[in-house]
Amino acid sequence: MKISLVSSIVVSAVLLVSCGADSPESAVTTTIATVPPNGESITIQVLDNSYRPSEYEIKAGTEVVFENRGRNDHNILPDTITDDAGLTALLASDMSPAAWGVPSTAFTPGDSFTHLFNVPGVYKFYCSIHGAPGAGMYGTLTVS
Amino acid sequence: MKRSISALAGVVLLAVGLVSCGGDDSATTTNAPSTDVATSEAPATDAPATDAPAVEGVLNVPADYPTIQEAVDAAVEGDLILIAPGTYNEAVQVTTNNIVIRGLDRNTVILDGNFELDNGIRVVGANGVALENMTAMNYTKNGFFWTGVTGYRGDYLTAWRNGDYGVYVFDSVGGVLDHSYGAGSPDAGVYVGECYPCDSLINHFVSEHNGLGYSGTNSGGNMIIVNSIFRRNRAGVVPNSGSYELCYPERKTTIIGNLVYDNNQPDTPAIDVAILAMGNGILSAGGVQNIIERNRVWNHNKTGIGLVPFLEEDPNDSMPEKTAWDTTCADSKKLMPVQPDGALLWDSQDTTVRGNVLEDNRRADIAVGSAGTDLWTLGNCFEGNTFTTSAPLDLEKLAPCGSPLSKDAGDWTAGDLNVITWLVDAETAPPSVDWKTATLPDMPVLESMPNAATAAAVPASATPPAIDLDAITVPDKID
Repeated sequence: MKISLVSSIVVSAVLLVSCGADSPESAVTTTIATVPPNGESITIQVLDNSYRPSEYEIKAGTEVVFENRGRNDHNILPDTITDDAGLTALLASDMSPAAWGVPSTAFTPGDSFTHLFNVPGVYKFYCSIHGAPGAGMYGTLTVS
Repeated sequence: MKRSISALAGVVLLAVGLVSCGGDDSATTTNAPSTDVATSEAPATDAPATDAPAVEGVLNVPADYPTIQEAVDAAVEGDLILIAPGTYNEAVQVTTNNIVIRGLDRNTVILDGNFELDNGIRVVGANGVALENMTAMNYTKNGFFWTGVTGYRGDYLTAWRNGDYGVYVFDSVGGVLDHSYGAGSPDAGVYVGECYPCDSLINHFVSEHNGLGYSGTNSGGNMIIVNSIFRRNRAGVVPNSGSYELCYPERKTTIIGNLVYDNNQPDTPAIDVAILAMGNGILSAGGVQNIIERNRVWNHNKTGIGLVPFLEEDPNDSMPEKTAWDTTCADSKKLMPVQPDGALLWDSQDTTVRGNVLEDNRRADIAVGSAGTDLWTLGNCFEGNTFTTSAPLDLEKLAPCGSPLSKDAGDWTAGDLNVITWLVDAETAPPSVDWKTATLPDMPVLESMPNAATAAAVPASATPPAIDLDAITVPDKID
């Protein structure tokens, strides 16, 4: 039974930060069940100026490694965030699954960023330097 | 952890003693390339006018909308945003298809990033957007930037002292850049990359005092560069391949009828690749199936026209087989990478160098080199060029067009090009200059768009205008 996979880690919180229309949860008062690490890891290449693959489906509990393998700085922002400063503020104030990403100052060529996606949902992201939500440099992770 | 290549690729911004290069860029052309450059200083910008009459479909800035961005946000397809002379401290983002954004005067409609804002105008995923007749300066990234679009057009644009590119077109197809100018960027004054087929035209562009005059990574396929001037950059015209962007290799770029000269400029901002390529006029770095014809190329410390490899130390994919070179960019994006064991050497291949006029290129007027690949296997050919020196010697005899190349055509090693030494040269080359303070020529007053106040708004077509390439002759020398 799937519920058996659910971690005992239960976050009871009022989540006020949206991750877009397809986000795991948005503006809800709920209990978020997180899934423990499943030992799986995938790598997404961050090139100039694309995420490869730009769309990917993973199981909850999978670790995703973003590697900046281009020659330029990039960032990874949830679609609801407009810039690095917004991301920094989000990360400082929000512990929900919607709060993830890396600013360009921490993602120069050769850098990597790792995040454990342990809550199912659709995570849309983009690079604010080279794209916009759904245009230019953007991607989608579907976590089941 | 940073990879070694990334350390090498880091843009080094060092303030150094600046060498004035003067403002002698007045140029009168007697042939196709238009220099667009006059010697007088730009008139002082007026405060934005506020008295433009209201016309349906025309959004006046600042009369109707105080900022360009507000006008853009209010615009619908087919609208014209008309900008009065003035200085606008904005970073404009465009996401609406088929609008035209036009300045009333190229030289006095100035978008100024004040060294803080990122892009003058960025068009993201909006098709058919035309930008006309204005200047963008002092942006930390790019003056004008299209990405992910079908159909784009930039006419009478001036990009001046921007921190990455002057005019930057990425992952976009079906476009024209005409009568435009880029100066003072560490990467390229004008760039078109990651597109195949690009179906794009660069015409009457002047690019100077940049790291690279033109750069086109993994672009090509009806990618045409004509009637333009690339001068006083670190390196002139540099189409190139590499797996740090998608849609490799660079291929089928046509470079005809351009003036390319004095690309040894030591006091420009410059990314590492520009420093590595310094002193070359037209340099195909791992490009394939390019056509380089009827250009006039002179005064370079290395090669006038060089076909050389690009060494990618830490690639992100294996090199596509030759049979896959015609794969469209859209299709190649669907392919998953296969990580190679080691470095990739992108050789320049199957390129035609014909009918160019070259002089005073100190290493060689025309050259082909590799780093271990037999040159006669690369398929590059040279014919009908006016030149004095070549590497290897007798290159037109060794590699004629129209017949298979042969190891036995002559001595391929006599006077051959040792590109490995360029890596050493790069270590001692003048370092990059801070783009914010680099010495530039006086900002030129450039030709404005005719009838900017009254011309109809024509969104960009995804089909660039046809160019009669056969009619283009070698342009006359200027300066």
